[in-house]
Amino acid sequence: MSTPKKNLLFIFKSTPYGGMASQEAFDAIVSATIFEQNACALFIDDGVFQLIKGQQPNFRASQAKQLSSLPFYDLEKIYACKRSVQARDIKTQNFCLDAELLSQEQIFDLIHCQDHILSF
Amino acid sequence: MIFSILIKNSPCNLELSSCALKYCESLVNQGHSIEQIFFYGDGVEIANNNRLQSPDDFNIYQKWYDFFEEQRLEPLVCSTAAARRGLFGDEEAARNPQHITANIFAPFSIAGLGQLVEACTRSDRLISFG
Repeated sequence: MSTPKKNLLFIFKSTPYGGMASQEAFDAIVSATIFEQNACALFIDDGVFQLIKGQQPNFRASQAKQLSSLPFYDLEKIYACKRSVQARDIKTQNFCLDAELLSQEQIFDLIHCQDHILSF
Repeated sequence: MIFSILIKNSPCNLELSSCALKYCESLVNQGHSIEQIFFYGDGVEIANNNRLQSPDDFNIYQKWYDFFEEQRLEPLVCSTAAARRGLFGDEEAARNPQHITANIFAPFSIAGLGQLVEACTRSDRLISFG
């Protein structure tokens, strides 16, 4: 694509199986990487539940399994909100992929340097 | 400024849907341009032609259609999100005539997520609803 690259932040803020949002966020971020944009992902609020490995949903593909494919799309900038992770007592050892924990301040900075934000 | 709009809420959320429409109208009134309006997630329901309007309900569909026509906009509907909710365009229906009938028509066009990404690259601002 000849158009200039944009910094796109995809915010994953929904539970993995509470609706289609998590799936649709995944589809959208994959499209952004296929179209060679500077995409990054931030998991925040209940969205951090999507990161827990070993999910065994009955009616859908595992969101964690899907997410663990993100590095293969050359998406390396994956962040999680430290406060959301701690509030839900989730251990980072249980994450399905390497996500850098960000403080509130770092999240403000991250949001600040984006061209567009898509939140799901 | 060039804006693109991403709508993810169902039109049944009348409050939010009319808020989005008013926002779009204000953009135009203030001289901004709308590069694209993209319907994703539950937002694709706006394109469903197969529905009956109850006279008691506020006709948000017609309001949007009027806006698209006035502004000569071609709103895009995500094909995957639409198919998940039983919404199809002519071409898809023609491929599976035994199973589905088309219920998305002009002014809506069926699109891929790539077109949303492209709209982002051409816009100064992306505004999401829902």
